[in-house]
Amino acid sequence: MTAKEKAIMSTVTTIILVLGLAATALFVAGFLRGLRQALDSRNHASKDVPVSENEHWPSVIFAVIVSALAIAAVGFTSAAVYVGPFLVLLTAAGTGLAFFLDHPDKSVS
Amino acid sequence: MGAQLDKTTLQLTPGLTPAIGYSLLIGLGLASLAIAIIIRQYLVRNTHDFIISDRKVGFGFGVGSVIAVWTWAMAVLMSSAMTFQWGLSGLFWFVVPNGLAVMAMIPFARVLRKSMPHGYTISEFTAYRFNQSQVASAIVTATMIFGIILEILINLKGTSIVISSIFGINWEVAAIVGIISVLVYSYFGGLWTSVMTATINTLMITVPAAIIVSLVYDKVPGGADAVIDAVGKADPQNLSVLRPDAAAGFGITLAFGLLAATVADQTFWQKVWSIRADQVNRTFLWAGALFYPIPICLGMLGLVGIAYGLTPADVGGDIAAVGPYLVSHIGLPVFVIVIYVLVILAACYSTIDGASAALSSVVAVDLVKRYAPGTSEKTLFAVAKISMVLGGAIALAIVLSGVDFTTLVLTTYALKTAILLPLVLAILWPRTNTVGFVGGVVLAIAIGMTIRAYEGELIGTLSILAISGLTVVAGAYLFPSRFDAKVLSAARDLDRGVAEPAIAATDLPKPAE
Repeated sequence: MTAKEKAIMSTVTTIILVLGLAATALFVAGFLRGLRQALDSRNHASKDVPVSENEHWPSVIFAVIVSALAIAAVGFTSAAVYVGPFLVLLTAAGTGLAFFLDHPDKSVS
Repeated sequence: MGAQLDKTTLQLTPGLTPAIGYSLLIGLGLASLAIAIIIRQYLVRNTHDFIISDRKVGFGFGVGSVIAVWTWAMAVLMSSAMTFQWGLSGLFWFVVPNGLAVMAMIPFARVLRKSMPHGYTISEFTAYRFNQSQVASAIVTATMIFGIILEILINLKGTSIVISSIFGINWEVAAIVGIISVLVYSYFGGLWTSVMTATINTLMITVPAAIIVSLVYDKVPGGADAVIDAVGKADPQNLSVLRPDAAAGFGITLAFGLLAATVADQTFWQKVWSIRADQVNRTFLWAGALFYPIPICLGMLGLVGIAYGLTPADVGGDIAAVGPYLVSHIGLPVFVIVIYVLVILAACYSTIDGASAALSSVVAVDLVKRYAPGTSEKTLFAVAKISMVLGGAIALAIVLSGVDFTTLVLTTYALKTAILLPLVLAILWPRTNTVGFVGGVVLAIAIGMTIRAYEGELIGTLSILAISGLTVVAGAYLFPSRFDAKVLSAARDLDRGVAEPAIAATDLPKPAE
């Protein structure tokens, strides 16, 4: 990498770019799996499955606290401005992961 | 202010031509149209599939689509704007209630999905809940329709202004091209299309947002250290999340408004009834939690705006433009700016197509099936599709007319805030009755909105909530009755008659695993 290129893109940006590509790959793989499942379920009747009773309150509180801390941290250290960009990659990766945690065969007949 | 960065160095990047703007507007629509045509062929046979996806939306599509629908174009812009205006306190009050509003759907979704497994709309629930009361269901139906039209026109207006300011396109032309691009693809696939394209849009919003924000900081001389140093020197309160003026100025009002925007919005209830029953709760948990990083990331642009000492006049008078202004003026290459515009367009398109899909369900279930129950499946299917176009056309007409849509905003705000507590109580409290529900909404609008006009946002909002809630409680004690939730299970799926032939999944070529 030349000095000019270094000036264009910092190490943090390069890491975000690489992790972004990884998150994209996971997302695309998950999306294709979800698409396949949706098409497969096309010929199956929906089966009545019970609604989960779990309202996930501890997880909700945890998510709220983490988001508040991520913002507050910027007031303490300038490096925290990158917390948002890194976390948003987690949003893409997490959405991709959600497809792999889904097992629709349990809810169709 | 000596540490402030030099804003005269911010110059518009050359090469942002109108042709690029049109290509983005139309290209994103065409790509979505291709997906819609495939979906229509394989997954949409009738109105039931079109408006509720046969209740087969899985966890991944549920999470992706709820995130995208909740990420309004204005949310992309306002996260930077609120940070620019109030510092970290602005971002805190903008972000924290935003994700919480999505996750707050969980208890209501759990109750209704369990007690009314074959529901379609929240207005339909109101009809069953209040003994087919025309007034109660009409209030909720009107609220949903106003809300949906408002969602469409706010996103349309915001995006057309961004496109016009960056690419020099007439904003009215941008609005027309934008709405046509969305409606053409939404028309073909209904909710399935909305869910799948919205999920793709989540990817288009998230990864580019991370890269762009990091690139913007790379362009600032001195990077993040210089930005935070300048922000602190401009006003030390900018680096605190505890500014009381931010909470009183917009934070508390926004928190209640956001809660009303999910709980009293058919776009979200349509998702509740379309996602597979066993996935509903965790879908809203994941969507709310994973939504948080989007405004946190984009809010960092607002700090750069403060660091450069920008004023509203510098960015064209509206602080919502601070993000687009920085990205297009800080010296980034054209393709990076194009990607940023795609982030805004993805947010805009996914919200509009989600709102359009919600409108089709309200029209099919709460208008056509309620007032003309004998309507054939074929006609219902056609009406559901046409209603999306009509909704978009009305929103476009309002935007193009140039009228100040403050009245529509206020009306929708009044209805949604007034309906919030009565609706919550109707779902959770069996003693809620028709008199309390209707009285609560009507009194909250009549008295609460008057108070709001004289005393401002905060006191007005709290008054609306207090009046609506107390009236419901008073109604319950004056006219005691107890609702039997089993009544809700009487809601039935629409006729599953096939309106249009679809290709069976077994006919599909096997894609690579």
